[in-house]
Amino acid sequence: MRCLLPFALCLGALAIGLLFAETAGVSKHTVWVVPWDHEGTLRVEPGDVVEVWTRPIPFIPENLDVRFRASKVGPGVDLVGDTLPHEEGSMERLYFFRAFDPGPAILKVEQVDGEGNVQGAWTYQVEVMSPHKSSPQE
Amino acid sequence: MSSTHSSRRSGLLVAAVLVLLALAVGIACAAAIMQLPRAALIPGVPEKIIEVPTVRLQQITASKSQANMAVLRQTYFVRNNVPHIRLGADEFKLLPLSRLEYTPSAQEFKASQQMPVYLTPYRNYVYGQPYKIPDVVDHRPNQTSIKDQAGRLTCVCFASMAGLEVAYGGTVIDLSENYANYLYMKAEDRGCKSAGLQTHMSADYLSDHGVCRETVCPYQTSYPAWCNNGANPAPAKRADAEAKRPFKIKSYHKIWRKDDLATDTGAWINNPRYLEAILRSGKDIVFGTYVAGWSGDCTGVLDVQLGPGGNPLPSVAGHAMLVCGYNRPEEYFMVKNSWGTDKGQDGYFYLSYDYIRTYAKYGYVIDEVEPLALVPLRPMLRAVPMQRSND
Repeated sequence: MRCLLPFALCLGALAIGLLFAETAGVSKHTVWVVPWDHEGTLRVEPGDVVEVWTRPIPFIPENLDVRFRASKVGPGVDLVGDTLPHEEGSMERLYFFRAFDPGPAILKVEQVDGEGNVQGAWTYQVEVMSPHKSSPQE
Repeated sequence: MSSTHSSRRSGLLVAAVLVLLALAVGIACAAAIMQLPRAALIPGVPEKIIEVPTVRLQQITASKSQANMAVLRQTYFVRNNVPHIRLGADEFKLLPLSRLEYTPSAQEFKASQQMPVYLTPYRNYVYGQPYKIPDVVDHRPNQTSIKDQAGRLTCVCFASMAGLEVAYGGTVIDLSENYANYLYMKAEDRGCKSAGLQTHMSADYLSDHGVCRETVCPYQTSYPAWCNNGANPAPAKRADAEAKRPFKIKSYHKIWRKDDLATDTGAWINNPRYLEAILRSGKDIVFGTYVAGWSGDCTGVLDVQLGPGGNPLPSVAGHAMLVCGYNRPEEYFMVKNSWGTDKGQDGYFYLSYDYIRTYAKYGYVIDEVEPLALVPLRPMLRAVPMQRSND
C-alpha cells in the first residue's frame, strides 16, 4: 500500500499538469484557412497562423515549370513555412504565415514560370489585432 | 492490530487521492468541453456553406498534442458530421478527411505487411534474400492504349482505370475516366473542378462502386464536365451510366511508404524489390508519387536530382500512374502515364529505382475483380431469320 501512495500522487500531479496545459494561453491560437480566391480583410490575433492555399492547377506537361512563391508586407507577420497538400493531380501549395505584432499586413502569393516571370498574383489583407479585441471578418 | 489500523489508514489515503485524481480529470474534461467553439451564426448574416481547401485535420488529430488539440478546437466545429470552419461572417464546409494529410494507422501498416498468397514465392526476395528473378518484366503489351488527361486534374482516374482495365485482362476493355472522376468526387462530396485525390482512395471507391465503359461516358477534355452537383450530367445520362457499370474491384491490397527504410526490404512502396515481385507475379501497381526534377518531354530515365544543399530536390506536385514493368540491370521501372504518346517513351515513363526509393508515396494492387455477368446472345444471333422464313 505504501508503494501505491507515491504512484497515486504522481498520477494526480500529472492530471493537474494536464489541466494547466489544457488551459494555458499558449495553446489557444487559431489557424485561419484561406482559399485562394478569398477577398476581404482577415482579422487575426498575435500567435495565429494564416494558412493560404494557392490556386489548384493541374499537374500536366504544360505546367511542369510552374512554381509558386509567397511574400509579405508588414512587420507583424512572417512567412514561416510551406508544404504540399497530400494528394495527386494538383500543383497547389500551402503557405503558413504567423502573426506576431498588431498592425496591418499584406500576404502575397505569386505563380511564376520557369524563368521567374509572374503569371498571376493574389494578395490577402490582414489586420493583426490586439489580443481579445478581434471582431468579425469583413 | 496496529498494522491493520495502519493499512486501513493507508487505504483511506489512497482512496482520497484517487477521488482527487478523478476530480482533476473531470475538471480537465469540463475545461476541454468549454473550449469547444460555438457554431452560433452572427445575427442578420445568412449562413454560407461553400467548399474550400482544408487543413491537416487528421495530422493534428493524430499528433495527440494538447496544444494541437486546442488549436483544432479553436479552428473547427462539426455539423452533421462534417467539419466546418468560420471565416468571419461566413462558414466554410471543409473537405472530407481523405484530402487531408493521411497517416496510415498501425492496423493498416500491419495489414499491408501480410503479403497475398501469390507473392509467397517471392517473400525472401522482398526481404532482401537472394532469389532468381527475371532481369526484365514488361507488361506494356497487356495495356490499353495511352490516353491524355488534357488540362484536368484527373491523373488518379487514369491510373486507376488503367489498373482496372489490365486487371480485367483485356487490352480492349476501355473504361471511363470521366465516370471515375464523377464517382470519386461524389464519394468525397466535392465539385467537378476540385483538385486531385489521394491515389489509394480510388481503390476504396472502386470496390464500393463499379464504373462503366468509355463509350457510355466519354472523357471530356474541358469543363463543364460531369459533376456531382449542378445539372451536369442530365439525369437520363447519369441513370444510363449507373445502370451499365459492372467493372468493379473485388479485393485489393494497399502498399504504404516507410520513410526510414535503410535497405531494400519489406512490403513497402519504396522498396523496388517488392514492386519487382508484384510485377513478376503478373500484377501491376497503381501508385502515387511525389514529383521533382521533371522537365521537357521526359524521354530518359527520370532520376533523383540533388539541390544546392546536396539533398534531393523538393517535390512540386503529386502524380498518379501505373507501374507495369521493370528493368533490373538498368534499374528503372516502366510506368504508364496519361499525358498522351508525345511524352516519355510513347507515353510510358521510366523512373529509376532511386526515384522510387525517394519519392514513391503509396499504391495498391488489384488482387481480384468482380466477374462480369455473361452477356446474353443478341436476338440477331438467334434463329430470327428462321422465324421470318416460317412466316
